[in-house]
Amino acid sequence: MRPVATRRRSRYLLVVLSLIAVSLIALDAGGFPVFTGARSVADDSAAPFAGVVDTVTAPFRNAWNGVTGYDDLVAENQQLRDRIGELESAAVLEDSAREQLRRLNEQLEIGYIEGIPTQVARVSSGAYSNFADYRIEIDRGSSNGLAEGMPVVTRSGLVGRLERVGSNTSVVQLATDPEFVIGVRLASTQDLGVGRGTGERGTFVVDRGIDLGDSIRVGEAVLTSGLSTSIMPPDIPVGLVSSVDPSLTTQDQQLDVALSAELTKLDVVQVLEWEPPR
Amino acid sequence: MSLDSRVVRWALVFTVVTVAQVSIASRLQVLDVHPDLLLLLAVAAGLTGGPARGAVVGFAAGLVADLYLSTRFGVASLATTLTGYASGMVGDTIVRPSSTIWVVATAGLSAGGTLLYATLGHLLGSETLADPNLALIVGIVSVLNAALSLPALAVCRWAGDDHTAVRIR
Repeated sequence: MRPVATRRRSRYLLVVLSLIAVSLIALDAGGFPVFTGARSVADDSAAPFAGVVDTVTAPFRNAWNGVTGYDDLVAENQQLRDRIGELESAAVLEDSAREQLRRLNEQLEIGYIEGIPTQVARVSSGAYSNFADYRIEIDRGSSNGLAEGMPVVTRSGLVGRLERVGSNTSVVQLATDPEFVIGVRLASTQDLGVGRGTGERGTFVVDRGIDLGDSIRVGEAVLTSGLSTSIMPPDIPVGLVSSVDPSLTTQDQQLDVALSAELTKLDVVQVLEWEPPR
Repeated sequence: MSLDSRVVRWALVFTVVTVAQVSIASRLQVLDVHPDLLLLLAVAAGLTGGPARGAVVGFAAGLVADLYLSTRFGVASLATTLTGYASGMVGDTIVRPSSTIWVVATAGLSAGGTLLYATLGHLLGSETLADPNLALIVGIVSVLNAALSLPALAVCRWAGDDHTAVRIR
């Protein structure tokens, strides 16, 4: 057993350190800007080590993931075989589909990415937290001309936005984050609404702005609204409506949206050099 | 050993553990869960050095973790400070230490530390307690940290200049 004085000193130390931690939490909640800068510096500092270690340990990690994810690999192989079968049969319909898409784009006047300069970035790491934090890191930063708030997309559609930009790396807030809120527009009806991440993989929900009387069908395309105050440029595909539920309490319809971009297997993304209005 | 020398050792340990966490451990996943080396460091420091050392090392480890997490800055610091202190209290109660006891203690304290982080994060709006994989995360972090506990304890004894494997209390 430690002496009483030592125990008292330990308790005093605990109280002081806890108070400092609580103060840090309060400062961050108040928007103290130093923390964002410190996190960007930390991301940048870790990037070279991560790159080297990544290269050196790739065979071991692959072996580890092969062992721990063997069942997943088998299932994924089966899915890929099924997918090849689907694609082979779909190829016959491709020309027709392409023409339909061209006409649809003409109708919708989709200017997706057109006219906006882009930067291709590689996903350098996933989440550091074991809990879902809806963040990924990419290997481009302010030295490449990127800035906070820029949209991140793939060919399929919206991925998220740059939340933190270091000199050589950036952190992307994914569209599945419940705190990711954007204005959206439905492709065929042009209804405007507000959507957000649901926290679940690959899903998004539009839960404000779509009146009960609006006729919405499953499969409807959802795009970014591009209103003057929006944090996204217009017409970035978000996803397709997978279900429609009326909410009598809010007098709105809730649209579950399957995101177009596959966020769980991102390798390369594009950053649109477009900054939201301040 | 001088204070400066111990500071250098701890700085070296922190650097290595941080690089190992962000570049290796984060990618060695079992069912999408990876070991939490910074939490393990706080637990091991507490078990080997007592509540004061556990709290200080826990606070420093939490600060490093906060740099890489998206929860409010300070949440991990608070969680690992308390976990480190609790680890020191647990370490002080172990009269006849053995490898098994150290491993079991590390597993339990890692589980507690992960739950504490989830609780604090949830209270501050991160919905970490509502994570459907919470039990899986707590369980796997606990097992993986337990598996790494003996080397971690040895490293903390070296850094803290504890000459004997079993401290005389």
